[in-house]
Amino acid sequence: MDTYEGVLVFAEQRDGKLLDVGLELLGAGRQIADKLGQELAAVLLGHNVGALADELTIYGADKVYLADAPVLEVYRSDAYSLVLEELINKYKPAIFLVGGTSIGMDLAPTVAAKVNTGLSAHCVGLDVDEDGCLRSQVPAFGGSVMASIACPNHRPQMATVPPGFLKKPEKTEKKAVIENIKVNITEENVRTKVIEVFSEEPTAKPLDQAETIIAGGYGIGSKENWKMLEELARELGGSVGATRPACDEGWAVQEEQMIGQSGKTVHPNLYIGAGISGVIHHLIGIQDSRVIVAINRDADAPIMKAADYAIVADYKDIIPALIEEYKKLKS
Amino acid sequence: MMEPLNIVVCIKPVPDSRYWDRLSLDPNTKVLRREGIPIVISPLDRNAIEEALRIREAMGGKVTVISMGPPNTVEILAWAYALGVDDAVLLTDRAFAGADTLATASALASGIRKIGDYDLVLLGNESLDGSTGQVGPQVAEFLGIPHVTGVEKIDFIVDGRLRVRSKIEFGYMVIETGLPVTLAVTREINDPRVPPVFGALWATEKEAKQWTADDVDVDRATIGLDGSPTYVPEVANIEVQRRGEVLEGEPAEIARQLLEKLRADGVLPDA
Amino acid sequence: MPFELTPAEEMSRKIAREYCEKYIIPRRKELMTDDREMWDEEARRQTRAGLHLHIVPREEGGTGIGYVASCITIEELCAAWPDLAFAIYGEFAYYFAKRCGGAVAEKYMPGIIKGDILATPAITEPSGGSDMLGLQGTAKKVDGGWVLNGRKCFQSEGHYCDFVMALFKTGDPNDPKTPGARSLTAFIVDREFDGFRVSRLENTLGRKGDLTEFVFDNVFVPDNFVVGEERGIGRGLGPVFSAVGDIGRMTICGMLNGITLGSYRTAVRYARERKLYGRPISELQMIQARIAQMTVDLEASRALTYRAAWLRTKGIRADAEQATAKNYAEKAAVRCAEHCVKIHGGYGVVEDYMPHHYYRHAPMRFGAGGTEESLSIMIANAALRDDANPDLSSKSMEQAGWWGQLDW
Repeated sequence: MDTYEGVLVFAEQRDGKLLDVGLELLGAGRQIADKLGQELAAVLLGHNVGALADELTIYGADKVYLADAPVLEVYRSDAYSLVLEELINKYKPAIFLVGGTSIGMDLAPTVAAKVNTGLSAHCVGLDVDEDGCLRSQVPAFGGSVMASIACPNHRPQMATVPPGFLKKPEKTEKKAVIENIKVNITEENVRTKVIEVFSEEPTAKPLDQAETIIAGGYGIGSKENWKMLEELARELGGSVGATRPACDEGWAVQEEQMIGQSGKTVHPNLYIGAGISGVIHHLIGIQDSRVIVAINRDADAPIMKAADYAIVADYKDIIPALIEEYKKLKS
Repeated sequence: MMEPLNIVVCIKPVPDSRYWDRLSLDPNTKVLRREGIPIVISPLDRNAIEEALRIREAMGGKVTVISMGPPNTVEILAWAYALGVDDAVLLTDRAFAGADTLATASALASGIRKIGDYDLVLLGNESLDGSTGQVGPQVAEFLGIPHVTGVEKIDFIVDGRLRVRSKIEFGYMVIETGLPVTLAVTREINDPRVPPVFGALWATEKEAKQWTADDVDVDRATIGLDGSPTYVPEVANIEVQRRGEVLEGEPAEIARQLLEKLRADGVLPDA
Repeated sequence: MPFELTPAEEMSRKIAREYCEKYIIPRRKELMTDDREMWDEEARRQTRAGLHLHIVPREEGGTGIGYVASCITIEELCAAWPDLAFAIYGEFAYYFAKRCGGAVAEKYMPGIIKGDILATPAITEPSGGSDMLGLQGTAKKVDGGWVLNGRKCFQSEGHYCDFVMALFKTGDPNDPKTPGARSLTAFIVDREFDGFRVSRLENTLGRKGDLTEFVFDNVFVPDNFVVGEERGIGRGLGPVFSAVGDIGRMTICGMLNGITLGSYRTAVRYARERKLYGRPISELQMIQARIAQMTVDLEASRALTYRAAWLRTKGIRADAEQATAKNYAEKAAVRCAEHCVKIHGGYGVVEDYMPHHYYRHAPMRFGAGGTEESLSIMIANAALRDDANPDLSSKSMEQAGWWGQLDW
């Protein structure tokens, strides 16, 4: 165990583009590596992705491992996990961080099982304790409880982090060294085939980049009433978010609009939540907002204590009033 | 014509989410207190059972559910019988307790190996309480079979081969694989059935098999607390530091007050 | 009788609840409308899900768990929505077809088990329901069958049914050859028979158009559709009473207990959550008094219903018990619905809340399965008849001194 050193970050790429989450992990990874006085490395898998490796070098890593081969062109569990297993056994990082994308959430547990180590999912905080061990902060279900998870006797200590949670680091002057990794697997080692990949660009500005967000929950009550939130968002030039129950009802699109631990993490200047009770999964997603306004008929709803401004009233009265008063202010 | 399949569905007992506001944290042991909260089958595992039943209806075969938990887990296995599964197995033993996802996967894999002769392993993509989504891939690793997660559609193309649609951000991947394989399914895959009336007979007349750690062939070092690389040394109540200022009055008055304060905070757009 | 439900009966409640939570409760607002199409769809959903099969023996394709499970199922359905127990018409269909056997069973039974076929009794006429001997509909013998003429009214959900069991006069009650009840015969009439039609739908306290009037205009019914065939002529009251007692009364008790159950659950929950004067209203004694009365009513009504159902499942005659159960259930439902409304204060009468609906539907079953009046006569007769409670007239109790004057 003592031979394991350094922080390794999985830099995910898709369709020839680096995903932000890998960069976000490099930011956190750099802080952890500095605390431990150890090296930070990124690992990039793909085919013909040399340019992306170059891009990666200025985000704070000391080293970028590049595994470039046709068998790695599109993500498959077998291909990627076998390469990473070999890399981990060779370079023995103490910590391995993976972004919590759909691919990351598939890859990380596979690798963890292969190298027989512990993995914490959906971490919203990463820290190092006095023994130099990684502590992953994960909210526990139902209440306002945060578990701090440790992996004392196995290496590397692994964690997945939701995209958009950490901050992208500044670009650095210093460039990382690129090390090419020999890929020793072939198609014969990979038990699945990819027949088709389909993805389209989202139509609206991604919620995690919005500066003003109006969010609705189950308390909105109907698709008709939902339009009120859309109107306020239009007035303020903001975006509309939702909780899981509201998406389940079909008032919002889960993919793009759901805010929460397993949805999007947002950092707006202004967040206004209406008809939302505020279970911890949602609160985790908005805790980085500069100002939080909550509107709920129930003064005891958890979100009311988590807000800067709490309005105990029916949103059907408050939202139209806000729209009107804002119009007056602008003119 | 497709061959009938032997399907194993892994299901997890979770506290009914409708009662979550009754959960409390024991301040001394830092353990979540669950007494009095009924357990149910984790919702996505219901989707997995449903898919298994549909495949059996289309192609014939057998559906076995397996779960790991304390003895009262038989309640959810009774519900699985009510839904129409053929067989149910409970892995229950103190030696299995305290497991993280890796140790759970090891235990489940040993149970699945004992069931034997399986073609397809299904389970929900993530559980309601832990929602790590890790057990599916890790069970597959212990069994030495491939896996696909985020599955929203399963199509059998020829004997022994299938194509599944796996959800990715803003799209999907279609993946072809052979059998046996582990598939972790999402809620989009189907609409789980309500147990048929005959379920009242099945649930009360059939009994789940119960296996201890001795009954299965598993390395004890890989299960339970000993087999868990991760553990939780600390659980803390989350402190939320916000102003918590309550605004009161008539709606128009509240609106005016709020906009003033937001403008002063510098977060009001265009104002 | 044992004071415990069997595991299968407990399970039947859980399954009925899941059904309600998936198919009824999310659609409560929809169910308030008069959307004919939606009700057409609802009519067979429950029977297609097999909710009527608890009274059907296993060897015939049912669960065989029995009448208690049927009452429990209907209880949960009606607690979810007070008049959505279409499973009842599947049970009627099974009962009629089984009773008839022969050509009728052959034609309908497979469809009944599958849940595609519903039936209802057609007994009540504009001339009166309780007064069966006074009914006016006539059946005249012709070659190969009978020709029916008459009107039947107030049949619940009649227009969704595929066939009915109708009671007609084949003789004259004053004729010594067909005295009294011997003048009545029961017939199975398929809705496709020529001359049979649905003529009116009544708008009621419950919903619009849920009580049907049938017109029989020279309807030809073949001999093998007479209930009991040749031996059934003049013996129509038997099958009708059995059906009304076993299925009608039991399921209606289920419906009424469902209203009582729903009222109870809603009231208890509301009392715990609603705050007045700074604390939950459950701390106020008058609210506690209402909750106590509702609890007693619910327990008592269920006990009477389940006991009658239990006896019937065992094949034991339970006419008086069924009548007692219905008598009590009807009053309990009305009382509890009222308590529920009052506990909710202003919200109790608003249509967005369930108390409104429990209260509106409670009176719907006053006539069904026997009115309070006719049942009371039945129950009284069961106590007062010579052959009932014989020991009360016996010498031995007299000699033991039960009735003597107190000797000071």
